[in-house]
Amino acid sequence: MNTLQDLRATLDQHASGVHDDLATSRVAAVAGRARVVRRRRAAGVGAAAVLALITAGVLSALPGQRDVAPAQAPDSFNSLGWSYRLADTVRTDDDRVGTELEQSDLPRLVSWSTAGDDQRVVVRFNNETWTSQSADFADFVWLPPNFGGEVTVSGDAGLTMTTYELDESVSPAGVGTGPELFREDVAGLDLVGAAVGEPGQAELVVPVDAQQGGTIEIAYTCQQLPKGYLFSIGVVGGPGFLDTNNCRFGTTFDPGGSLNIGLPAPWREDAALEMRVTRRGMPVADGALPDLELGLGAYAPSAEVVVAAGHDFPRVIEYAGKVWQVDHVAEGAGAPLPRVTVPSDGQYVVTNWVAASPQTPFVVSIDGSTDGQVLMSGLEGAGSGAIPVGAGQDVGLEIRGDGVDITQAALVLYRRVD
Amino acid sequence: MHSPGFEEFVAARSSSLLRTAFLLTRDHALAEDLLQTALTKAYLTWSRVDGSPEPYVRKILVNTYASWWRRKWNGERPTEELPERQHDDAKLGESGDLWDALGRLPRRQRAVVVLRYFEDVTAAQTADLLGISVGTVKSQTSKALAKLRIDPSLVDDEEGTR
Repeated sequence: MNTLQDLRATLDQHASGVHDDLATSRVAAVAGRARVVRRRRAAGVGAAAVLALITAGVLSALPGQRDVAPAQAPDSFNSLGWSYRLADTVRTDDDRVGTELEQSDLPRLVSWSTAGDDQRVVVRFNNETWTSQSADFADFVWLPPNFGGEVTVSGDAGLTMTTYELDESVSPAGVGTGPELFREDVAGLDLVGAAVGEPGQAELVVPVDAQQGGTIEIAYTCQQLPKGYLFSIGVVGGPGFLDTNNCRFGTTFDPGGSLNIGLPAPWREDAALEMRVTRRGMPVADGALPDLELGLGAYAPSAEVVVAAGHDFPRVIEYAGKVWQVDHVAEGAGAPLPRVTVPSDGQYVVTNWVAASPQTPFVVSIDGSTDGQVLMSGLEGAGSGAIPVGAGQDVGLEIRGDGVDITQAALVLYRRVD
Repeated sequence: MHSPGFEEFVAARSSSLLRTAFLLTRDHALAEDLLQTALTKAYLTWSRVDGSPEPYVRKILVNTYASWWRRKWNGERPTEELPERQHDDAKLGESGDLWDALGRLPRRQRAVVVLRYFEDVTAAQTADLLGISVGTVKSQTSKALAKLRIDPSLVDDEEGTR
């Protein structure tokens, strides 16, 4: 028979073993949850309440005055099948308008209008700069998940800037629900298999319709995986190719838009992928981790590539919430390095590829400026992701160092097509 | 961004609340989740807190635990019971048996035990926190102690000493 003293001692003993590792980040975590609750509540009580609540989430406005009843701004924007709902409007008579946004785990958009006929604007956030000359409220700049900070629009005096938040009640075609949905189509890649587990489900098996062959692109989501647990992704009956305890590389928004694992053919007709959680090498039973959330999707390869400098560039890409298609390719072997001039109409991003002597540093230059990321080429080559460029800009490649043997180099200009 | 006093309250008291949450859930991750859920509810109504916020937040915590709603993709859904966890601390000895027995208690009885014998609150305060009658607190306590192989008559002795 136990005593009350035994009970008290047991409770004290276990309570004293609790280490409060998250004490410093708890306020931020609670604020983040509160934003989600407010967003859900707002979705249920109508547009007027939405405006009021989300306006409360905006920390402060830079020069300009807030107006919750914009006359011209559209109620929503579509970006890659996701819908974004008008959340906030700021106006100014000045030539620069901006706002400071709280960090959000979901993406947002900003759009704008100018008072005069000059439609040219520059939008800045983080270290990104986007230029546009589209008509009022015809264009947007996509703010990625986890962004928080200042967004500004500069242009002809008399600017209006609108902010849009993800409308979770509208989803693209795909597998799953909410922000973790796997889209059916990602830049021309077809979804050939996907599964989203119930909370607590520790193993997923995804049959893959791989008749097209080639490299299958894999996307996944993973949430609430405690310390000490691993999850792995592999082919059923075949090799695994990811084994990690780190969920953060799996995005929680639009996982298909963040394809980052390529698994080459050959694929059997009845091939399947599996995703499972283990602890100390042993499978974890369904329900043992009640908050665990797993999702796995597979996309068929695109047959449409453009080969430049020996590298395959997809003909169509998604970037910054928009769809882009190859418009112009500049390539060469040795000097002079390729250059392109951005056309005066439309929107463009540029990518690149350089194969040179091992560890050759190179950088993309835009109108002579080389402030961007310095990359290192090897014999097989290297390239940067998409870089936004403006009308009329001169884009080139600049090699750092002397006596470098450039094997091949390419600049590929993509034009927005959605 | 935060209501006045909320950050200070979290900094000062959330470690204590986390310990209570752990005794209720018996799992570190669930305890943190429960605490953040309770703090979020409190945060959204912080302006209505009159006086010391700790009893208010503690009440939210134990009631959230007693009627736990598990997060899901869109919205929430209820689950009947939190899953029980294996405890792997081999050094507990007989205390480990008592800990395991605590884990087998129904949720409300476990809440009563934690409040009475860890938080050291009275039967009346426990009744207020859980929104039940004092009689129910006493009957739940007796049932819980019996399952823990503790003589329920000890409860009456303790009540008499307060």
